[in-house]
Parts: sequence; C-alpha cells; structure tokens
Amino acid sequence: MADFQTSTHRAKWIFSPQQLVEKYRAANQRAKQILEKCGATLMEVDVNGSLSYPEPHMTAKDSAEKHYRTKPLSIEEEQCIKVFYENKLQEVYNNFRFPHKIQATALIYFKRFYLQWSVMEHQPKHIMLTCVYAACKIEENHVSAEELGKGISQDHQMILNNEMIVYQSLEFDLIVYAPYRSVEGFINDVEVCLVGPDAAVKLCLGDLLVMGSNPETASLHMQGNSVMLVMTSLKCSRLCKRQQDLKLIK
Amino acid sequence: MLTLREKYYDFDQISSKVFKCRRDDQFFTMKIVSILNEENQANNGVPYWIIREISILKELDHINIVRLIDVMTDGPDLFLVFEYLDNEFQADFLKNPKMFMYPQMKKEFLYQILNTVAYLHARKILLRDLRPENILVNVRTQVLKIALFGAARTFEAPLEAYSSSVGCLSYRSPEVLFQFGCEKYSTPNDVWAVGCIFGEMLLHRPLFSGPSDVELLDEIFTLLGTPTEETWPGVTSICGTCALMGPPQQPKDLAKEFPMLNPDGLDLLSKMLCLCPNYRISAEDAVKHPYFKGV
Repeated sequence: MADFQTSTHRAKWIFSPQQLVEKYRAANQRAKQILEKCGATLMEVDVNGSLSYPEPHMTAKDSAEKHYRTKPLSIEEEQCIKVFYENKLQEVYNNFRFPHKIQATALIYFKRFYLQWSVMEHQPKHIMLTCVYAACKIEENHVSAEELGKGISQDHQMILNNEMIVYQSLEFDLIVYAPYRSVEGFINDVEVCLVGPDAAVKLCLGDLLVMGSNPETASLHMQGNSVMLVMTSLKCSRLCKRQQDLKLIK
Repeated sequence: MLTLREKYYDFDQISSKVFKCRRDDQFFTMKIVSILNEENQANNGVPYWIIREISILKELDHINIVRLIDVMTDGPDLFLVFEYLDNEFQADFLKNPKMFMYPQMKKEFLYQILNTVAYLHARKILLRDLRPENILVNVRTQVLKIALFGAARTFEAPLEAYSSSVGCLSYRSPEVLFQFGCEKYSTPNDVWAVGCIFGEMLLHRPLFSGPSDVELLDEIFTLLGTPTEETWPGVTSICGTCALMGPPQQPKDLAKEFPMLNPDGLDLLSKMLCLCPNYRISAEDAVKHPYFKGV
C-alpha cells in the first residue's frame, strides 16, 4: 500500500483513547436528542447518500406518553452492538471466502463509520454489509451488490443505498493499513522456529485475526502492526509454554 | 457540514463536466461525476474507477501529480475538487509544438515523469495507464503534472492477477500484451510506458502504434528483437503460443534509430524498453541514471 507515514490513516484516523470516548459520546448524545425530539432515531438514506432525520411529531399526546417512549442506548450498549456486528462481519467473510485483507478493510471501515454516527442512527447490519461491499471494491475483489446480497439473503438495494453515506463518513479515505499479510509470514516463521514443520501444534491465523479485531478501539488508536504484534506475542508465549509442558510430559 | 454551494462559488464552465470555481481567494478545478447515469452501474453503485481514483489521490502529495483537494456530493453527482491549473497547462503534452524547441526541456520533463513514477512505486501504486494524454505541462515554468488515476491501483507482494486490458494499447508492455498467464505484472509495466513516451518525444510520433495486440507485439519485436529464453527467461511458457512471437527477429541498432541521443540516453532508453520485465530498469534507478546529470 501507499506509504503509512504520509497516509490519511496516520494523519486523520489514529486517536487517543480520550478522543475516542469523546467521539462516541458526541454521536450517542446527538442520537438521544433526536430521539427526544422525534421519537425515533433511524435515518432515511437515499441511494445518492442524501440523509433525512425522522420528522418531529411532538403533539400533546406525544408529550403525555413521553415516559413510555423507547429508551436510548448507553455508550456501553452501543459498543456491545458494534462488537456483535464486527463478529458477524467475520461470518460474512467466511461465507464468501474473501481474502484476509477484505475482512481487515471492512472492519476498519465499520469502526470508522461509527466514530461519526450512533448505532441508533444507522442500522449496524446494513452498514456492516455495505462496509464489506466497499472493501471488496477498494481491494479489487470484484463482487456485485446483488451477489453479496444473495449470498446472505439480504436486499442488495440496501447496500447500494448506504454506499455513499459510508464513503462520506469515511471522508473518502479508503486506503487503510492492516498488517495481516506480514503477520501471516511472521507466523509461518514462528511455527518453523518454535515448533518445527511436523509438529501438531499450529498457530491459527484465524484466531489471531479475531483477537486482533475484537478490542473495540485497537485499530483506531494503535497502528495495526502494533495490535497484531501484541496479539502474536501473546499467542507465541502460550505456544512456548505449551511446548515446555509437552516436554515435561514426555 | 457545508453544502457544495456554501463551500464553493463563482462557477465557470470549462467543459461539459469541468468547472472552475472559487473558495476564499483560491481557484479550483471541479470535475463532476454522475454516479447513477454511468452505464451498467445501476446495480453496482459508485463506479470502481472513481473509488480507485479518489482513494489513491487522497494519499498523494507530489508536485507532479494533480492534487485532489476535496470530494463533495450533491444528489446523484460526485464533485472532485482539484488544484487549479491555469490555461498554460496543456493536456496531451507531446502535441505542444513548444515541447520540441529545446532538447534540455525533453530531458527535464522525462526526469519529472520518472521521478513521479518512482514516487508512486515507492508507495506501492501502479499507474497502469500512463500516456501523453494524461500528462499536462506548463512550458513556461517547465512543470509537468500527471492526471487521471482511474486505472491506477495499489499492489502488494506477492503479486496478484490484475486485469490485462488496462491502459492505452500503444503504451502496453510486452508482458501485458502476452496476457496468457501473465496478468501478474507490476512496476516494470509503468517503466515501459515511460520508455515509449521517451521514444515518442524523440521521434515526434508514437514509438509503437499497432492496432491490435499481435501487430503491436510484432512492431516491438521488429525494433527490439524477438525475446528468447536467454533474454527473457520463461518467455516461452508465458507466451503460451508461438503465433504471438512471429518469426525470430534481430534487434535493431538503437543508435541508428535514435541518432539524436547521446550514449547515456541510448543506454537509458534500452534499459526502459528491455523486453524482460525482471531485467527492466526501475523508475528509482532510472532517475539516478547518468543521462540526467545536470538536470
């Protein structure tokens, strides 16, 4: 990929934990205000990316029923929903047997999108699928929206409707850095050094990917390779310990 | 978020889809791209080439690359806001008669092209469609700008198979023209295109202009000789069919074909037009070539 040091990824999309908390809070707060005002938060998205909030409808009856309205989600609840869909994204990826980089890119898009928006404003399921579609485009793994929709029994029009809002929310910074390819090579080296080619113990890259993607904010405030090195070293230390245990048993 | 009309004003039409506009005291060039009207895009949303062009240009900052400043949306249209290039910048730079007034100018522009290609390759970006039409020059200031990144793409190692139908035919490298099992082309493809542009600068006509892949390959082999296993290891397996190779031909003497070039220039040209992509000079090395001493 392009040079990380001069990339938009480094310049615009790496935040301190404090900055992330503020962004999540701002999005959550905005959604709460819309809920208060309109009684609903989900935005209507047009195919060209035009957005419209729900219409305010504060009649006397509405005011009286204010206490029975839908409760807004807390920031923590939002995080849980996001993590749930990040794991769902991996299921989509497995169904289509996409290369690792598609999963990596889609995951980063998904995380970045919800820095700007609350899950109360945009359906995470729709956004997750749109992020996969956008990642396929940018990584040149050509798959049509229809194909993607069929593969997961979803209406492909929903993907197309959300495409532009995803690009806008990502500010069209679509080249992202995920170190899966280098980690794959690193793991191969580790396997040979620590275990030898014939050993039964195998470092599972899939596990690493899931571990690396789950810490909610990792890819937003650490460079991707830092995340993966931490995960890999954890995995390797466990592997070494297991080897020692095996030797003791023998 | 500011709307298009709030952010930019004083729109002045340059061509059907290109406008000059203003923001504060600065001028910009705005290119309009209709998303929904694109052929066959009804079921695929934003066209691939737009996504590619935007995402790559957003990452680049180089004096010889037209800079993308902003991307705005308005209804079914995308507005790409570029740095403003005044009327002195002429597209299709080889059609500019002033280009051939000073030999040093050609060298200067070739250096700028190679320098830009080296910059892109260092950032793992393949241009894939480098040709004179996509190069703008200001003869007075001797500044060159490369535009149109619709065919460009990022690449990684190990290489993957890319489309072999990319780029203008005249500037396609032999490895792309062969197509058979050879879609894993890389940076040498762009260097070949620069070599073709260099030849065109010198001859005032396209170096190769065959109307089809086979005829173009024949032209290439007429000038540079038919590749053999010695000059291009593995060529017979890549080629897949001997029909593409044609009858064996000996390379011509480049010194006779390009009498205006000094020995350094001939050396650089022959290295850029090396048939075997693995032996072809890299853009980074080409920039350091003795031919550019004093540039």
